[in-house]
Amino acid sequence: MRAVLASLVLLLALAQASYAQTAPPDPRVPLWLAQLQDPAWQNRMQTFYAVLNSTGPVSGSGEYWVGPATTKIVSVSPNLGAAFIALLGLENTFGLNLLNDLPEDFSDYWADVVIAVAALNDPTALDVLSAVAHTGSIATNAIASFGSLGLDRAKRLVRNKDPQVRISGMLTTLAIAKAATSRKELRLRAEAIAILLFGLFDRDPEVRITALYALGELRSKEARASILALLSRDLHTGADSEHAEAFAREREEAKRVLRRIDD
Amino acid sequence: MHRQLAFLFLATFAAAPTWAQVCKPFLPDPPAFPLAVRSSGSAHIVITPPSGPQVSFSSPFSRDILYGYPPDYFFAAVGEGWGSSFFKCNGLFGVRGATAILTSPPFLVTTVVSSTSAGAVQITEDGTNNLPINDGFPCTAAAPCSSDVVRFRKVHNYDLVTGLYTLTHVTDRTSVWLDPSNGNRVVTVAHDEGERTATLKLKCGDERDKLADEYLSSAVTIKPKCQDFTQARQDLNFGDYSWALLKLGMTAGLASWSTGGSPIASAYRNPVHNRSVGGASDSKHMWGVAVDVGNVTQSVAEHRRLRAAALRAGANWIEGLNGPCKLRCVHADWRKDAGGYVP
Repeated sequence: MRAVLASLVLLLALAQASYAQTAPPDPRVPLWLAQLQDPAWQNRMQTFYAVLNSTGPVSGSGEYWVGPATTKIVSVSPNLGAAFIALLGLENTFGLNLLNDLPEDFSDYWADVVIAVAALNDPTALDVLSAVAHTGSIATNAIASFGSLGLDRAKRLVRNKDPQVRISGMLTTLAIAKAATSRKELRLRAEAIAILLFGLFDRDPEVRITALYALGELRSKEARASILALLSRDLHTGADSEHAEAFAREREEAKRVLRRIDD
Repeated sequence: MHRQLAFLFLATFAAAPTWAQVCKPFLPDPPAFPLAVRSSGSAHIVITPPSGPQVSFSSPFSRDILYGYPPDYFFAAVGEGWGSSFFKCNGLFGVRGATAILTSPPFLVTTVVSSTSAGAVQITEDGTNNLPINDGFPCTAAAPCSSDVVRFRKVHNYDLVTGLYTLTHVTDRTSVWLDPSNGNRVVTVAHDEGERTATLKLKCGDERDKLADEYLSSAVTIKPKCQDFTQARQDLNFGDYSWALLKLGMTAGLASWSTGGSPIASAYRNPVHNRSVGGASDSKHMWGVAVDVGNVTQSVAEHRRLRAAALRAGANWIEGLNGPCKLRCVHADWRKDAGGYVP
């Protein structure tokens, strides 16, 4: 925890130092940088939305507004990028460590900070994005967008002790494999499939189901033998297990994926 | 002149009871803190807000000046002299008559209300003092008009929904307010010849008008249009109306979310309903992109299973065990969906 806080302070200091070198055009930036570190999340939230709203209307493409607004404001005031990454670190510390009663407004705002940081497309954000990979596709897709760098993160995620995090690692890997379509990315795709095959033998059934699902999405013929092995194993051990329901779903998913691969 | 002033005074105060219903004065009358609104000449307004820079405006239109500055301080300055009535109405602003001294000639003013692509109603005032009178009296050689040609063009943007309104009538001294009895936006106009009211009627022609107005008067970022609402998928409508907003991305995501038959605990909520259940001020339930699936057994294992399935269904944001739902349900949303609404 102390190490996380120390790195956050360092990030914020870097954001301010960076600001000092290149004065941004918007005179409110110094105040915003300070307010984004406010001890009260409500004040940080207010500042976050004030910063985004300062860009005025963003494109009416139907895309959720936070990403485009972030891109717009950071193109004018680049220092805010580092400040947003540090902000996500702060919100992760608050959101992940509060055991109960996460306020409604906080949860909604936290998701928007993740979207803002994802929009930065900045590899220095990989740490803070990985910390929230289990919250959904905003984070997993953002990590996946870094290709091989993202796959390194996915490898760490699939070794996490929390099954939900391992599931997000599998889905990050799936997104990387799906995007790796060119000839020069064949190795990346093969590496991603290897991670998914590794997931078939996870101790948690939900992780295995996710690995199956991912291999089905990729129609990975390499997975056929492993899935058959999985089916065989579950037939012998699943019936008496207290996780019988999960095993049943797993077998169903395995059969569905086999059909999909053989199609 | 006195007769005209008295009439103006009465005419402008005639709107006061309605204002009192929808707006709260946010400054004592007269202002007690240093927010100075003063005018000189035809209309030179200097505004010193409690914080932030001083701003000034010049306008040949010296009777009613409506300004919102800065965005948090919507206020209206009325006439020349000291503005004496300030209202903040949830993002709308209005003006109540004041004991302003009317020294300018009456103008014929045309006010045009139109929609903008940015989702606002734009009110443009364009006027010319083309009456052969000054201060209510005909111009004569003995008493020439002091300023008989004044052209101005002023644009006010009100945060209303594009395409929802039809204007029936407006003229000068315009203010826009919400009539709580029927949910209509009303343009109130105080005019030398009496007060005129223009009603901006919502075009949907059904309860969507009221529903859309909830969005206008709340903190929700989106301002939906008539065609965005649907009566399909009533199983996802947890609001107070038969209409709901449902994004296609959410319904597709929900279809692939293997919930194992767990019931839907909440999906679409209209703003008033969302407030009543303690939802976030910009909750994605009001956007039609969020679903809470009930955790019938209230077990951690079932919560985990539902979250895992939501991840596989590509949900953008899934709340954990410490989220507002706690063990009761799993909240997932597809807020980044750029697709359309369920028709």
